[in-house]
Amino acid sequence: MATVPGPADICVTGMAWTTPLGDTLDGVWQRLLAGDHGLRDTPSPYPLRTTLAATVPRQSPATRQSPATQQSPATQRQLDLGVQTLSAAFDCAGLDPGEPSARLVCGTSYGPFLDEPAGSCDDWAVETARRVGHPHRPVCVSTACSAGSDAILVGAELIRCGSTEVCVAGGVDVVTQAKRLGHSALGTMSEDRLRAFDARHDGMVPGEGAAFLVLESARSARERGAPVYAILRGTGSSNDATGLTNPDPSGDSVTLAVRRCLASGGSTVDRVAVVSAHATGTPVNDAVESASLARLFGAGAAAPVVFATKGALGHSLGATGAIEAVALILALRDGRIPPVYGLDTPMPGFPLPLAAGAPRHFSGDAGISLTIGFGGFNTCLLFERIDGDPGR
Amino acid sequence: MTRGGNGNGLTVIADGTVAAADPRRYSRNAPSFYADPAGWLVAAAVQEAFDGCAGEPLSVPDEVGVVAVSAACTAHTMGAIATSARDGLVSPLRFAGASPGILAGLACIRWKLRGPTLTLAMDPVAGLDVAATVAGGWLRDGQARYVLVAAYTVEDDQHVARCAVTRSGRTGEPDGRPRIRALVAGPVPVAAGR
Repeated sequence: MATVPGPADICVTGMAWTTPLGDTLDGVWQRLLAGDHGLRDTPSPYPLRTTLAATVPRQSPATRQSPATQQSPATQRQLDLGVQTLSAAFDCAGLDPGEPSARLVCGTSYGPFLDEPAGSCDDWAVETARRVGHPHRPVCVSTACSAGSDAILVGAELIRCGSTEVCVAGGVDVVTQAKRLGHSALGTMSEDRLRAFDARHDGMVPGEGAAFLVLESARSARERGAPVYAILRGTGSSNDATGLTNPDPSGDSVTLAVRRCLASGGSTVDRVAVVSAHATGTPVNDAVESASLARLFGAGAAAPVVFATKGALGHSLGATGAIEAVALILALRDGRIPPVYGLDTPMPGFPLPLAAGAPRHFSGDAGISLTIGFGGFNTCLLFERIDGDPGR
Repeated sequence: MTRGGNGNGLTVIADGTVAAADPRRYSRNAPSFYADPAGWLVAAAVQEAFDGCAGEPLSVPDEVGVVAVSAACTAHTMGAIATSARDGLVSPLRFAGASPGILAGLACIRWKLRGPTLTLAMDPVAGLDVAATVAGGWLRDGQARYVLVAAYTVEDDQHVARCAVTRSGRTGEPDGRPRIRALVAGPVPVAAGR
């Protein structure tokens, strides 16, 4: 049975994303369900393991008003993605970006800094806030590929502790030449496609995008009659403490993050019906995630279904946690997950049901989104579906 | 480094401060491992803070969290990568070791800390209250028994890392946040090796 928000709950009252498959909630979702991808051949002056990248096309009215082109400097593209998506999130929640009671938490990984160093690592976030007319200095989070999730984690805590009633939190990141060179040199980039959990997986394909969630106390949401898309029931994180790029192979650390998340939400593994996996398609990441999911859910009678969006949307690094949070909320709303793009033959021993080739239905109201970042940042978010249907 | 303090919600049990004109003197990189000098400087401040509480948190490393705050983060290595990338070259080791998250992550690797971790990429003066709030939440919810709150700044050509070891406050103990603010706003110590 779906949930009704309780007085202490943190509600998601708005959300928006800008992705290689578009920038409307249901438009992107339908394309994911249809098995589409946003990969494009993106030429490079230097050799790379692949020239594929999931870049955001120039297609939305907001972007046309504030041009973001593939040729624009990385910082400008970061700002354009941030401004467009943040504005849309406020709009979705029926809030003015200038709302003084709201706070803003922005996450990114390297953002544009490896190509265009900045005076301060939060310059982009401050400028994004200024351009949308938000009055407060944003909080800026940088925890590699968990930054989008960690921004949501921070936003939730600001509400829990009573610092604010409304917090708009998410992530933004762009494809740049230096990042492509770095992942290519590191060997984390695929030579083909991102095939998460597939027997042929060989790495990630870079992507870009942005997503923001409007988090709001149940009291505030109720008082202003805001739509509620989901409840953010729990947050948890851990560090691998093993290395900069290699996750803890035992799966212990990822398991810690998930258990902390479930405990913070007063939930248990048997309530989790769906998992949005980090699923970068690198053999190392996929193995750790597979081991972690087996330890968490392997003995359960009702195993959750697993989906992943990076094959279709690319790995958007500091934005991916927020983008995947939006995807999870839509999956909970619809009770179905999109096929994992690039997955044909699941890797041996993968412990849970996957959607391969077609969408898959599931029953249940709770789901987790998992991210695993360089530097050992494991973050888990627990969302619950609510009664009603504000998202359509 | 100091020891003591009381707290309600969050208290500081020790702190440490390290400064250097050239933070690379604290680096302990190896042929197969590279982390930005700022990460190593923060790790040195963590060591000082641990010394100030007899390593008390190290008895429960799985329950030690880290929040680092810095506007500069890993600017040194990111700038170097920006330069080399113009020629089509990016070192994979430096690419991995340039992540701003390393300010929190390197201490975790060094001491096997597996609590919740976070880097806030912003001026500590603006971000410290949020860092303390998040740390207090982790302590309140039992996600960590100790949280290291660290800051890295560049002040008057000095690179400065500061770290406070916090735990949940006990009845009658005052709030530890003022002490954290005072630590970050404190004078720049004389840099070692100047």
